[in-house]
Amino acid sequence: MKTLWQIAARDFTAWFRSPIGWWLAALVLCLDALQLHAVAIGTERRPSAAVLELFLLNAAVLTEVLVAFVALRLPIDEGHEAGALLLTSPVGEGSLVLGRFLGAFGYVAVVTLLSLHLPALILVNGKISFGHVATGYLGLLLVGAGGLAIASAAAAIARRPFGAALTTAGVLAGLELAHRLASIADLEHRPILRAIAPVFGRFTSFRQGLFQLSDVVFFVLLTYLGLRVATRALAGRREA
Amino acid sequence: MIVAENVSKWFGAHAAVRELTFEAPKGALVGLLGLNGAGKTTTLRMLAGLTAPTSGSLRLAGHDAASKAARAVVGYLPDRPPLWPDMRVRAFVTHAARLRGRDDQASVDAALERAGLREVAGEPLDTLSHGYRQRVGLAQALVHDPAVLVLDEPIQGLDPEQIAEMRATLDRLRGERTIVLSTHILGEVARSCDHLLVLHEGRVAVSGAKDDVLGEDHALVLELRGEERALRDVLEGQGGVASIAVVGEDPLRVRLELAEDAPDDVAEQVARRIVEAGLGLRSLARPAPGDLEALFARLRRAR
Repeated sequence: MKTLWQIAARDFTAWFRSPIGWWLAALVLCLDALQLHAVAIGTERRPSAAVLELFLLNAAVLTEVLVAFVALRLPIDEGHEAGALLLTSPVGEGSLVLGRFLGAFGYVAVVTLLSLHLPALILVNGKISFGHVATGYLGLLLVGAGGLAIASAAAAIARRPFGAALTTAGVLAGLELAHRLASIADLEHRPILRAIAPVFGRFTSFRQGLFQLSDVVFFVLLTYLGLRVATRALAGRREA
Repeated sequence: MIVAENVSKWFGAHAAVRELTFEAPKGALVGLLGLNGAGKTTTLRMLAGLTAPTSGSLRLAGHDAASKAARAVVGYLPDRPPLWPDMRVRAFVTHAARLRGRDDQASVDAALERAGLREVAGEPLDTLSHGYRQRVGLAQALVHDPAVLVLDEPIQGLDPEQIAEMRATLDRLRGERTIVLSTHILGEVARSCDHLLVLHEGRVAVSGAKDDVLGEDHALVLELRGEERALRDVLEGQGGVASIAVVGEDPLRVRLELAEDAPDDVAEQVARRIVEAGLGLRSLARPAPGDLEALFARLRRAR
């Protein structure tokens, strides 16, 4: 347990020791501010709850983009940086994967929460509830966790940074596109396709300020599944 | 300390290591040698716990090499030291210590001292020279005081002064722990190691105490003024000489393979007969262990 937090703490602080971590955070926060003013508020008159809803939807998409970039740092490979140190330490694969996941999740959570001043502006100037904001941000954190679990699995399988990022982006885009496909086509499996899309499917309740346990369970299961696949893939590499 | 019994590692249809069997006692410094593709890296990776054998048994200090318990008693320095360039030296070695269950600064200080890093302990890793990075790699491998130390090309890329320092460090480390050192440089092995494990095409070509392995070269190399034919006539019937062969393209440089039961003074007897026959003897020497190529040439001849 101690080593798990040791790995998580190192990875978390590493993001704030590197210029890439700061640039990425600045870029996401700028885009969040821009999308609030240009898209969510825009020129159309909307109720403030609708503005917040649109802001949260765009923020969730940006969170998935952020996750794909964060995936660049998730691979544990003996030829890359200190991968050999991690892999030759007496630490189980589960702890390695979870430690790295928590480090990355900490970073994504900080970047996400740093944008809280934007819905706070809507809260101050409009008529939305604090619960709507809180539920929306819980959803954003769950989208981040689910995406990072997919990124962890992609990193364990692809092993290389760009492979991990591209695989993560591909899987997330595939899940979201499945939802779009279900919307436009008359498919037999439409409910399933809709149910597996993190942002356009499962995040809908959160952006509307509704707390639905089934959606929370979906993200928790997605996270568990992703981390489980990552752990198995990492363990399998020792046997390969 | 290290016991390998019929260890094989297959990647698909390709066997990187086949039926590897050897033992390295506590305190041994084992030189792992072989041409590229001989199976050295795979062997080191199995010892470090990075990959498990496909078959056979590989045990380190009584633990299965693929287990977490074995990883706790092994320190590993790959050919490229594993580093996070965003960290400082002391912080990195402390992190490595904690990953191995050591949470005391005394272990970190000892590792920094052994690796000669005290004066750069506060420096960022990305500003260090190759030699210092190699030392940091050694420090992270040593910080938990492992019983087995696995070093892959530890002197590669070091300047002569750094090589001398690395040798001194290895001398300090030996004794208490078993060290497996991989290198292409037989001279380095001859100087540092007391055991040899030579791999060839995934199999053990030679293994054992260094003196036994390198001392097996029962031969004399002669440089003559005269003819090889005349030499053959002179040495015909000479006890202890098994065969005569020209070395390379120079017909005046010949190698005498000695029989197992060659008398101790065979070199004196050969020299006397050559001189008495009126052939010019420009030099006579027992071949010293040279580079890896020479060792493998001998192995091929032996086959």
